[in-house]
Amino acid sequence: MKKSKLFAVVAAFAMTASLAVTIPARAAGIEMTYLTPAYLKGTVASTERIVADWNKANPNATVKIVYGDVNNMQDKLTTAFAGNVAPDIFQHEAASILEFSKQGYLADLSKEMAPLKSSIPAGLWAVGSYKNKLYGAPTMTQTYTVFANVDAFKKAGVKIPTGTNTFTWDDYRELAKKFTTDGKYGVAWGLRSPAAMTMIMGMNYNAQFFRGLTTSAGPTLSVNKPELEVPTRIWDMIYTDKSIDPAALSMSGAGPVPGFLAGKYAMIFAASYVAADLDVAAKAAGFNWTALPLLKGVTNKQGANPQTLSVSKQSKYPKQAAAFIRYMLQDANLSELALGEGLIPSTKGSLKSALATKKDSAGWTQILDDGEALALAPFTLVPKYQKWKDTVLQPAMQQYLQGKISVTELKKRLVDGFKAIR
Amino acid sequence: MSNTTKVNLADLPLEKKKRKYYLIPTYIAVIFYLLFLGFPFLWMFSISLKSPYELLQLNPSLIPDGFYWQNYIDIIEKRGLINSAKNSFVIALLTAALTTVFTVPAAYAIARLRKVFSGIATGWILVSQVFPVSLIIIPLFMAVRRIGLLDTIWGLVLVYLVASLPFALWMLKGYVSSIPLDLEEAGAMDGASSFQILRRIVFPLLVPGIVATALFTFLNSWNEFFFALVLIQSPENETLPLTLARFMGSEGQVLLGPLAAGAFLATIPSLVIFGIMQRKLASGLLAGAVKG
Repeated sequence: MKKSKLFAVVAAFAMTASLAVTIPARAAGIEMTYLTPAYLKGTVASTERIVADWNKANPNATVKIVYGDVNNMQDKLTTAFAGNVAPDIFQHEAASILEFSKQGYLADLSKEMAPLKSSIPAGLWAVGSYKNKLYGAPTMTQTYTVFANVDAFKKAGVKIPTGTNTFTWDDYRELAKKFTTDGKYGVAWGLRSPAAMTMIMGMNYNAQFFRGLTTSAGPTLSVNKPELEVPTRIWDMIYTDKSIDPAALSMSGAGPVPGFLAGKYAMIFAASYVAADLDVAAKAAGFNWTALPLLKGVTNKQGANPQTLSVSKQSKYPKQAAAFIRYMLQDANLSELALGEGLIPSTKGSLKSALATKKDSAGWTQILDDGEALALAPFTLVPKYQKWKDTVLQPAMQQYLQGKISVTELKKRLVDGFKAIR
Repeated sequence: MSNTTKVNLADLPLEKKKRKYYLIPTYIAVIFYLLFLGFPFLWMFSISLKSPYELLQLNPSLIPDGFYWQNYIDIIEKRGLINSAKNSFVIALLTAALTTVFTVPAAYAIARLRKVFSGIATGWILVSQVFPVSLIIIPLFMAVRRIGLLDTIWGLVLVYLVASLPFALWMLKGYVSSIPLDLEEAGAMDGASSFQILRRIVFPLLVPGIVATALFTFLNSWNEFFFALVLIQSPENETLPLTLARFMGSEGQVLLGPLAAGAFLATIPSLVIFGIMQRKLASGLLAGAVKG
């Protein structure tokens, strides 16, 4: 190699190495880190606006945003806690923080959040708690609902169901059959990951799944008629009525939206966050959508698994971190964040604020009203739930809904799978 | 040096002519293969130029309705893509360079060692590959933290270097072994010293292997996600895969436009690096040979 070439290589290497040296940020007073999985454009903008306002008002206790990947939050937090480098504040989902609460990684927020307790539904408060101590302040949550193409209903001369606690699974099944004509399916239902939906919607039929939550032996899993009601009803719609598009079985929750917007389906079943996409289409092309009342089995209750804000016990500034969470939960802030995600805010004030913002949208009004039906689901109190859900429930439900295993086999797999979880 | 002569097809014997015609289906297959490989890239570029509403269409077209540059503006201005790309580039380059520096002499030594030592060394390399990442991640995290390299680019370089070395060594050992020992012996008979043999005979023949190993290491480091996720805490030290992962939500939600724009831009540096280095891959193949 010529000398000039050798010099160029060495120089490039030196330059690269010098670029790698980072200068640590300095801030006056204290600086707290806030790990958030926010990723939607609106939510990111709202988070940054709220944090900037906080930092302006609290120059001695500023917050630095750290964006996390929602699909890897558990890994990130597990290693951060183990390495004693956890963020001061973080957003996660209630069912997933339970393990951290149990392991003593989270600060008790009961006292700090006491002023907000009366404005948060008891079910949501309970989900963020462990042994009567609040470890995750509930911020926003989703429901699963049926979205309807208003124009398709009008064209078919079908009345859009209204009224709380009146729209039953049987009504839904009939509607789906009615719209299944001329090679079209009445409903599309993205069932690629049906586990969470199964657990949450199971509450419609008082499905408990887990029993003996407070016993010393730990919870046990039993799968009986109430627990199998939702899966078997979906199966019937797919294979007996043929009113659910089988193509949607491999789609994500929001996967059927393009077909819905194109008029391929009169209804889709999805989580409430889909409303954010529907808003885009309504604004761009005047798409006329609404959300139907929550489905009712024995009840219209759905299991709540809200997003929560927690403070790490490793934080040197727990009081300031809790104060920041209270700031995030202020009505205007929480309302803005929740609407950006297409979720329902947890406090009464923020819900009122969100309703005022969306008063012209029937669909949004329905979704925001649905928050009242959310209740504490036993699965959120089971530490092994997350592992069971990912490794047992998800694949077993996928196979059942794809017609590969029977309901008896599904039941066996769920029960045996839970017993095998360590 | 050999002289090149133009060959006229008519002057070729029948066998050679036939061989030329046989090349036509080969070229057709290559064209289809290129289209097959290139189409996802083209599709990604098309998606990156679509508006959120256009991305909700049931029947998407390859040619966008308009050029929605906002996806690019968003990822560059608001999601720190340039900084992440810089970090990834620095990390991948350092890892590739250091891996090469450590691997070349080690691979030569292992390849030329007596069989028993070579067997032990290669066995050890294989054993180091059997541990799953999930098993080592927490001890690794603690170790990196203890030496003060957590949340630093150097920490990630160190981890990538350690992770890359076994396979790179294995790869390069194969290249060294394929160099005929006769060449080195011939050099020795002509009076060349060991260093001269390495520098003038082995190294030029090893260039394609070194380039392939360096490219492999560079691309692995460029794409790596899990170690970066765990070891990097600050946004300013984020690598490209971490930034891109933030365009995905739960339950299969994806911000498709910005994600495609980010992924498109993320592909360019590795393509450029490959474009620059691929000539070296072939150049050394014919450099020197045993005259028979």
